[in-house]
Amino acid sequence: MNAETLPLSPAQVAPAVVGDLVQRVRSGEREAFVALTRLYQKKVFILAYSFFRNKEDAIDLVQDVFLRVYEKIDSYQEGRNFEAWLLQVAKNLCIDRYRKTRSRREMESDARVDELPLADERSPDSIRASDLKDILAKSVDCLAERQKTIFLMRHVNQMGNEEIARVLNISTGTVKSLHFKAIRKLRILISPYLGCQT
Amino acid sequence: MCADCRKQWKDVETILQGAGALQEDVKQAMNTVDWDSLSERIADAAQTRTKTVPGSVPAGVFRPRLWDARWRPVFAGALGGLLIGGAVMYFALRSPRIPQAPGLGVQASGEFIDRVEMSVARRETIDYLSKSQALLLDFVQAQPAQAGRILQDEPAVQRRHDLLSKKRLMNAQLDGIRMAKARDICDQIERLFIELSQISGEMTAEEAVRIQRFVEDKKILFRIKLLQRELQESEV
Repeated sequence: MNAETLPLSPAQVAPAVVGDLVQRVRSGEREAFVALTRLYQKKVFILAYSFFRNKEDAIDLVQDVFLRVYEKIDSYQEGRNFEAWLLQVAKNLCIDRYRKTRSRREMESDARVDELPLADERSPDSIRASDLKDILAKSVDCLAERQKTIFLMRHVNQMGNEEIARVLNISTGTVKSLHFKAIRKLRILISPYLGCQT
Repeated sequence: MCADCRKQWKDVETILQGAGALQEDVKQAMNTVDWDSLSERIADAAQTRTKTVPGSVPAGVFRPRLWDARWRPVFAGALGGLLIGGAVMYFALRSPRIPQAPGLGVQASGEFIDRVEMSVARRETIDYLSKSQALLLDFVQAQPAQAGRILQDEPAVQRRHDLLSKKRLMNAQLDGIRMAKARDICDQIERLFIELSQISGEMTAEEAVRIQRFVEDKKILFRIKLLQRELQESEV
C-alpha cells in the first residue's frame, strides 16, 4: 500500500504495512515518517487533549511524541504492537509534561473543584451538562496518575481494557480495578455537586 | 436494588455522561486542527533536528571532574545518607503503629467491578448503535442514485472507519453472555461496513438497491432500535 493512500484509521492498516513504514523511517525516508505520523497523530492528540484540555498544548505534545518516536525508532522491536509502543511514549510524555505544568495550571485555573457552584439543594438533579463537564474535568485532575490515565484512555480515547493493559504494561484485571477506583473517587469528588451524600 | 445502590448507579451514570461530554470537546478541538500541515511540520522538525544535533560529547570530558578525588567524600556521604534514610523509611513505613486513614481503602467486590464494566459496555454499545443507525438511516432513505454518494463522501467514510475501530475495541466487552444479543447485531453492522469499505470506485444504483434491501430484509434498523431500548431500560 502506498503511504499517500493510507486510510485514516489505524485500525484499517495491517501490521505488516506499519512494519514496512517503520523500516522506511529507519532508512530515513521522509514520506514514510509523514505517513506514520498521519496515521497516528489523531490518536495521540486525543490522549494529549484529554490530559491538558488545551489545543495548543495537545499539538505541542503530538509534535514531541513523534519527534521522540523518530529519535527512538531504532529501539522499537519489530513484531511488537507499534500502536501500543507509540501510546506508551505518548503517555510518558503526557505525564512528564503534566507534572511540570501542574503547579502552574493550578495557579492559573479560575476555579478549583471545591470552588465550583454546588447543586441547588432544592433540585439536586438540575446540574447542567456544561457544569458537569467542568466539574468532571477538574475532578479527573485530582485522580492519581494511573487512575486518571486509565479513565481518560477508556472514556475519551475509547480504548478497550486489553489495549490499555498493553500500553501501560499491566494486567487487564489491574486496569479494571484502577478504572473502578477512578470512578469511585470521582463519585466522591463530584457528589456535592450532584446534591447527594456519600 | 436498594435505594443507596440506585443512587450510586445514578452517580456512576452521571460520571459516564460527563465523560461523553469531554469526548465531544476533543472532537470539536480536532475539527480545528490542520492535520496535513501538522504531519509535514513534524517531519520537517524531525529532519532539522537530526541535522542540527551536535556530535556526541567525547567520552571523558566530564568524567575526570566528577570523579576527582576531592569529590569522593561527598559522594560517599550522599550514598551513606541514602542508605541510612532508606532503611529508616523502610522500618517506619512497615511499622503497624501508623494507622491507616479510615475510609480510604477500596473495598469492592469483583461483582461490583463487573457491574461497572457492564454499565460502560452498555453505554458504548448504545453509542455505537446510535451512530450506526444514523449512518444507515441516511443511506436507506436516499434515492438509489444518490445513496452511494451518501456513503462514499469523505465524512461518511470517516464515520464508518470510526465505527469499525470502535467495534474492534468493543469486541472484548461484547463477549460476555449478557451482551450476546448485542454482539449479534453489532457483528452484522460491522460486516456491512466492511463490505461497504471494499466497494471500489463509485457505488452503482444496483449495488445501492441491493444493500438497501439487505438492510431492510434483515430489519437491521428495527433491531437496532429494539436493542437500544432494551439496553437503556436495563441501565436503570
